[in-house]
Amino acid sequence: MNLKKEFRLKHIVLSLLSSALMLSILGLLSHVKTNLHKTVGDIVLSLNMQTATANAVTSVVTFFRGIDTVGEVTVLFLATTGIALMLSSTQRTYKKVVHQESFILDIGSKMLLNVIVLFGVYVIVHGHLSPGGGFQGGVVIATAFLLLFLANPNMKLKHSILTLGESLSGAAYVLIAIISLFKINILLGNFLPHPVSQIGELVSGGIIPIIYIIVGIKVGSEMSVIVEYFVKEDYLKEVPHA
Amino acid sequence: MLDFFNSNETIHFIITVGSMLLFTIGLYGIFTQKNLVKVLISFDIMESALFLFFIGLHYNFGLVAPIVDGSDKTFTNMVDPVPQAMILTTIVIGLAVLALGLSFGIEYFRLTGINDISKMNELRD
Amino acid sequence: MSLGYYFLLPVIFSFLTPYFRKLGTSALRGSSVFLTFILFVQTLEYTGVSLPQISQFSVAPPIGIAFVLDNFSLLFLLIFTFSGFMVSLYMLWYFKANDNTNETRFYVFFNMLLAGSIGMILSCDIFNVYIFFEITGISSYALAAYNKDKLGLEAGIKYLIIGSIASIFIVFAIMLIYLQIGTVNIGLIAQRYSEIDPKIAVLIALMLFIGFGTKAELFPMNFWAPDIYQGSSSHVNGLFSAIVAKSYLFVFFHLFYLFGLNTKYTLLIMSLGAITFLVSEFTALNQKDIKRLFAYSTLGQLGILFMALASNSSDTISGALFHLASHSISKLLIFLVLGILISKFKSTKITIVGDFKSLFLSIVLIIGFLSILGIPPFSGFIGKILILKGFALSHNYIAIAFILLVSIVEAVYFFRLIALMLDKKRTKTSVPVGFVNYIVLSVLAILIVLFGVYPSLLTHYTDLATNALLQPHSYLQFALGVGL
Repeated sequence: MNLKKEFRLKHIVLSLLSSALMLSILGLLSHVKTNLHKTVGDIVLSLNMQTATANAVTSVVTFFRGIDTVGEVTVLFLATTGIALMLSSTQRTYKKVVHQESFILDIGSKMLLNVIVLFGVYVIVHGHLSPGGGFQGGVVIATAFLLLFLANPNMKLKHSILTLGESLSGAAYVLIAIISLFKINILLGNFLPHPVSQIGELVSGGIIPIIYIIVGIKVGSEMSVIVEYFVKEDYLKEVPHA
Repeated sequence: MLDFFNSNETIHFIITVGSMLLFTIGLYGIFTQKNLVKVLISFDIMESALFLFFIGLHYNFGLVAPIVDGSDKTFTNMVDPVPQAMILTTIVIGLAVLALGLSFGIEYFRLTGINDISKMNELRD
Repeated sequence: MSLGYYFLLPVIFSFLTPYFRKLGTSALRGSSVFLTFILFVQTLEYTGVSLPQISQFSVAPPIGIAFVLDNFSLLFLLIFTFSGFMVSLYMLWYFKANDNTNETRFYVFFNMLLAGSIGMILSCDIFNVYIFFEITGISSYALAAYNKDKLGLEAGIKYLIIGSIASIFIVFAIMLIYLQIGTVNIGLIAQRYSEIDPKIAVLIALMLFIGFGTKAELFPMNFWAPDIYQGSSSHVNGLFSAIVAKSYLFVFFHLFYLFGLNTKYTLLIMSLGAITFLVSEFTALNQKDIKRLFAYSTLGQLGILFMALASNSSDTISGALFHLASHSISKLLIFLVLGILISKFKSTKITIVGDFKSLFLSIVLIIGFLSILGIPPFSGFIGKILILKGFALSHNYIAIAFILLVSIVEAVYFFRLIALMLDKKRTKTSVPVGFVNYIVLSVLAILIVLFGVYPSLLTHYTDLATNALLQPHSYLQFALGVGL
């Protein structure tokens, strides 16, 4: 009883406190201007025709703020490395899960895998023409592997291939930046031909679709690794206590 | 009468109040929740509130997504693409941090059997 | 060499670490030494070039992103690349003498920690600074939890939670800035910061203060720091203290002066710094854990730096920058020596400094202690005396009396440690040092003595850095892409 009272009092006080804080921030936010003219975004929109990319968000992500994306890919890489550091070790053994081999589940998941991966590849390749791109498509591909894990808990991914994918695509991204420095003297510049007349076609935008494909490979392989580590945690053989 | 809802001021007001409400829920969660997973979820709620706030305030009526299609090849009357790109970046970073935090939590739970952050107090004076 | 390599080279090395590992452990370790050496030598070359320098990515700055190096960032760049090089040499010994199962992943985090810190001080786009903030953050969470023991994981979880709070506030501030001015370029923000509605400007300043102040270990938000230092390995603490904390400090004061917040908030930051100094030094008095003790000592020194850097007067700031460089070197030295001792005794009790027998380690450790304490002829003395001189020139006698009085408290625990070390009655065990460590530790110790005897070697750079900080006109021009 006593515990319950204390619990309730603390929660009431804290909720009042956070509400008061938010109300004061809300009061301040009423001074925020919302109809800005001449933002960086407007300049970007007016310049965007030169990049020959139909999707302006893609050109911002991969070109105008390209180094942000290198950093972002690096953050994801670091997180994957950290998760691998935590959740993989030589002492860990996974138990073989006895699962009933269901013909429909088996075939169905494998058929769906192809469709999902195809959709992911479509989203990645059309990143500069339609909503979507490397990050979104990469996550779509990772969900295909999640489906496989759910259908068959004993499945294993080939880590050497995934490591190859993430390392080489990451290195390729940085190499593109450096090649650009030698070709047009600007890091991460658009050194491939990108005539404006091609806008809206599959091959357009110079390096922008190439970068998004690289990002797609990297995000796809990294997210698959993350998914595998978290799914496999369910099937650990023993939980040693220190 | 319903034109009232079609004005920028109204929609911006609703978005600001709603997202800050969501932000408060996240903040309250961080203050009160003991379970590490719930704390991490609270962070995610706070981040989502910020994303809604930022994207919402950059939308005005009459603007379309910043993508040209086959017919009209000019970039006019479109919403600002820079906030969208920034939010895309922030979402990925938030996801990375969340996944890393969960993996720390799993490993700590395997070692000690504790997932209550108020009991993680081995480090002290 | 383009400035962009400071970020791109560590990134490509990190991505390729699994393949360096396949070539053998020496290739892996060698690659890190090679990388940090290149960065350090490149930074030395920049000391002879006219600054600021700029290198752009994709498009010219107000729209795109660029790295700008001015004299203020050059000083930090020198400290970071030098400390990184020293730690990478030290790791050659560490992984030979200790468990090296996860060595590959350590180097990924180490390289990116360095790259993130460097990116934070070079980038002239505040959203880009946030990205580097996160890169540094994630690397440091992982490095704190790297040993995968109870304490390390707890430190990692705590650091991650605190870091997430800080980053949410920074994102909020950036969003408000973009909503108000429509740009994220630091140069443009600095020009137009006064146009912002004053109430929103306060909110933005508060959020930036919470975000970067938390990470830079300023008083009301630094309760977490000793826990992190206690839980992590000693060489990681060296990195945190010499590189990570300093990079957050850089961003904090860079924005503080560029956005013109120094006219309003000087007294606030100075008093918070003073409280940091006072509270940490008193708490340090009765610590039983050696890493925790030096965590409090680091907090105390950061408190002095906050006091002096916020003071708005060029003499004090120049002294503070000298003290910052000296503190980085001395703390790195102390934490590296402690790393050797901890890996030998497998204990983090304060008594381990009295248990070892090695003339070399004793000498360098005492040099480190005395330098932090501010005893001549070591560099810490010059740093402290320059700060005091600066305060005297601006007639701030309260600050002088305060620093001197609290330094007495500092002296108590440092002399207690030295007494413990020189105690003849304790049973001493000899400690193997390792060939590389002789080089690393003596270079650090020689630098401490050198800067103490010839302070003009360093004051040249700190004066230039102070000018660049207080008169940021040319930096702002470059941040807007003028130098291209």
